Amino acid sequence: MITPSSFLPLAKGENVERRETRGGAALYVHLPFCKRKCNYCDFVSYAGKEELIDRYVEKLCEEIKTLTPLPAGERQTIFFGGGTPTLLEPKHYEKILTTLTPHPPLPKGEGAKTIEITIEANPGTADRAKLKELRLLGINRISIGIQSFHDRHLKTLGRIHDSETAERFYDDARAVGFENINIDLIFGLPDQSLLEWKKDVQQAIVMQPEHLSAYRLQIEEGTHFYQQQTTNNLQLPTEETEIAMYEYAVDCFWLTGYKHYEISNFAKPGRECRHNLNYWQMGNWLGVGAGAHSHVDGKLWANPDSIETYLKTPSSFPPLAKGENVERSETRGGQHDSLFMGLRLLDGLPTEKFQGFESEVAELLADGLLKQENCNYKLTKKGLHLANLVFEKFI
Amino acid sequence: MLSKIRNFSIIAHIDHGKSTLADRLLEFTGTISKRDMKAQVLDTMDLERERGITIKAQAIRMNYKGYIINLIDTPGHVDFSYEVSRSLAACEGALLLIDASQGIEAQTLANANLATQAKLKIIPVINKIDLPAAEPDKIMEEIENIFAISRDEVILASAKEGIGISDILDAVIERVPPPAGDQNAPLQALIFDSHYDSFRGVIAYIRIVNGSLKQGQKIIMMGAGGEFEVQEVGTLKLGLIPQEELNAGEVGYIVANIKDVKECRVGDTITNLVKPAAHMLPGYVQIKPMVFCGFYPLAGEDYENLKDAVGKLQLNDAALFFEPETSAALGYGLRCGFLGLLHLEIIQERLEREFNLNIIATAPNVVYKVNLINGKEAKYVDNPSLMPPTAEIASVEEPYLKLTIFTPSDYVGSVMDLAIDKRATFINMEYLDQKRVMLTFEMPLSEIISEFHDQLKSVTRGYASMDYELIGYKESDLVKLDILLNGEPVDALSIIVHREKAYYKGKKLVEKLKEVIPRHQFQIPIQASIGAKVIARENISAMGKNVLAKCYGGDITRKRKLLEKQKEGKKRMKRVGRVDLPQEAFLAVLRIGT
Repeated sequence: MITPSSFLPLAKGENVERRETRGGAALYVHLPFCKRKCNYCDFVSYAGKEELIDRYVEKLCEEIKTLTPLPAGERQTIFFGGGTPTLLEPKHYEKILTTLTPHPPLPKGEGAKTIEITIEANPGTADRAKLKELRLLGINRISIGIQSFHDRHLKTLGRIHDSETAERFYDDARAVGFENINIDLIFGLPDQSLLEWKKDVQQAIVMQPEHLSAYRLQIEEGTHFYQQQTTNNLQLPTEETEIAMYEYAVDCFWLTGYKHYEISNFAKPGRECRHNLNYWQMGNWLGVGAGAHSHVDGKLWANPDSIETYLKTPSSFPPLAKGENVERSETRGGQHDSLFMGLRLLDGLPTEKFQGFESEVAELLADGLLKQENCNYKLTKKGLHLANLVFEKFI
Repeated sequence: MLSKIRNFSIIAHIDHGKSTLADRLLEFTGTISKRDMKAQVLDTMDLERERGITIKAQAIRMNYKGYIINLIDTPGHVDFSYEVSRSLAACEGALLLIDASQGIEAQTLANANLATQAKLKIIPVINKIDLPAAEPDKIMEEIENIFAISRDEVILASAKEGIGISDILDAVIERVPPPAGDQNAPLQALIFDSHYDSFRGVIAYIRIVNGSLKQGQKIIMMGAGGEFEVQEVGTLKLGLIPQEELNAGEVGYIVANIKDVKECRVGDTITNLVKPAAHMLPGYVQIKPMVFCGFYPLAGEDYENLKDAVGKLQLNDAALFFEPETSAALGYGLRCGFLGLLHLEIIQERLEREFNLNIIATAPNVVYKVNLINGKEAKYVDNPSLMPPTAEIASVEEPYLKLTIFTPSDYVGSVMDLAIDKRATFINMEYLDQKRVMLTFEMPLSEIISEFHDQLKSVTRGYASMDYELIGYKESDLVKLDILLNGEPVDALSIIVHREKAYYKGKKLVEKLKEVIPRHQFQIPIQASIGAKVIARENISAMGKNVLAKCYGGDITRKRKLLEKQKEGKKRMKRVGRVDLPQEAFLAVLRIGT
């Protein structure tokens, strides 16, 4: 019998209404297991290592116990990312969540009541019963990697599901009580037409999730696509088509009531992903599990990427291990990072945060990449496409 | 004592094995123990070792069979032919080293001519006889035909295998005459090289022709005019060996608190201040730079560092010229003058390597002589952007050279085509033997400084060799070609070209610039113009997107690294107006423009 952990109340819709603006405290739990590796994926994830899941979850719990609670923040979130977190069984989540109850890495206080707990999910890896158990454990947000509604593109991407499975999965999530759902879509796929993408966008809107992410396909080193690209076997849409795809999504989502709040993210009012907002606003976060990154008070560190190394490394805080697998770096006062992270948000950042970058800002304003609105500098429409040119000024 | 001294050089075409032979001689005479032997001992700079060429001459003293034998090394590149001639002037003999499979090449001939002019005894040596492709008989025939030296005088050797080394040393003793010189005559010492030492000032390498030199003596440079007091004299082994005195016929060094190599120029004559010689030794020329380019720091704040660095290199390099210049496009920089393109490349490389400077070098150009209307005095222009307006110009002259090319006869057609394309005038063709030909042309210097040598190698599959000497200025129909980026002329990209080639080059140049200039967030028109007339145009389209989509969990380090990499790339470019120009843009001007 699954019991919800006491410190994590079942979130009702009303709890996520409040709009947060200040930094928060977040816990990221990385679950690097997949049935197969997608052709575009360069995240820390491994196929065929499912036999390690039990030991991995135990290790996660051990690591959680060593964590020092984060300083107080206005908003608290937990995010199970992957990998394919829905490959794990409800019992694994029960173990993690019950470990969190006596050892909360998140500060006690008001924020705990409105906690957002997200799980990333891939269609075809959980049925309705499993989803229900996850929901009952207190997980109140689900982010579904649908990516495309065209089976031929799903195949090219190396996804394990088809579009019908994806739609059923979405309905199941709704049916078991997920009231905060995100759908991930990718555009700029090999051989993808603008029309196909328009259909993806429309289909996603019809489903009425609370949140939508539209990512442009990036060919990353070390992926299957990268190899294909180097041998000229990847027919990617032209730059003009990609721009049109992005602009179509931005326009349609806006027309149907989704706020474009980050370069690639859209949400119904109050449904912004608070966990990700915390990254962009450079709040504090702790990451547990292989390859997980942490940021606390301007300090950044990361766990080893390899599952095996992670399992062998003694847990301690911070960081997980003081061994050579751990990279630890200081931000230069944190200002640079908070500028290029914060400008991803369409609301931009208060002008006073740009102290010391007056000439850079002036140039970006003159070039029409940045604009001033009220007391904030924010990306222009052109700046959204060329955001890296803006960000590099603050590095 | 003079009868026991021999002074000689080794002269050769590049890669014919000069440095290896020098190493063997030093080893064989016990001057350097095998243990201390670094390959190519005489080439001290890293760059020399890497490029396999000798840039600066050096000297070393060996003892063999009771004789003092001074080996004076010479630079191996045509850019440095004046230095070669001064080193040879310090000798009585020369080993003419020829590769047993390659035969006589252009620089073999050029160096042999210099040696003959210096009245040296030439000892021909055929090197690399151990190679399977060696054809010593054929080479001996060439030697007889071209130099009129009997094959009986030729020594067969392999420096690599140590074959013929004692024969060579014996020949130096037997055939090279001992130095003539009058111990009691007023001092005349020839400076054949110098280098700057940060502790001791300039160390001058000298050959005493007449008289003697010792510590405390007051001296004067007869050409440059400086007066100094000698602090130390000595001879040269791997280091400096102080001696009481240097006498007529000897080779050695002096230290005299000389602050700058400009006061101690190669070819100058040192004499006694109190009892000076009546005449300078012949052959002194104040060498002038032939090729100019602008050096600009990528980061404006590096300007002072650049100036300091070039200043430091100049302490050791009398042929290097520089003065501050300002470019509307590139900001503060230096206009630098060099003996040739290799000299330029070496300086640029040293600035980057030894001084850690990131610089943009503008395309090199020669010095144009501009005759003005209204009988005004002619102007020498070493920077295309300083060309007077067309309306004020009566005519323009450019430096010409006599170019000698050795090539297998099969490639005569290709070489002719290449030379004509480079505005050369054919002068003469002469058969060296049945299969090899010597071609002579007159050609503008500006055509050599682009990539003529590489192109020559390419059309002859590496078989041709070349050498050249300057013959003076000639009138040409030249125009200034300007490049405009975003409608603004970029002075640093301006070049002087022959009118007939202006359209072709303008078109090629804008095409190439379109390729090498990265896309920006705005469209960049690139135009080539002569005066106000645009002759070619291309557009670099605006960058459409450059954005990271994904969130990557909390991994902001990864994002930052990506942005850092992007930014690093831009730091290696020079911002001109709103356009970031990579060094390739200037290389394009060099390759296509000149």
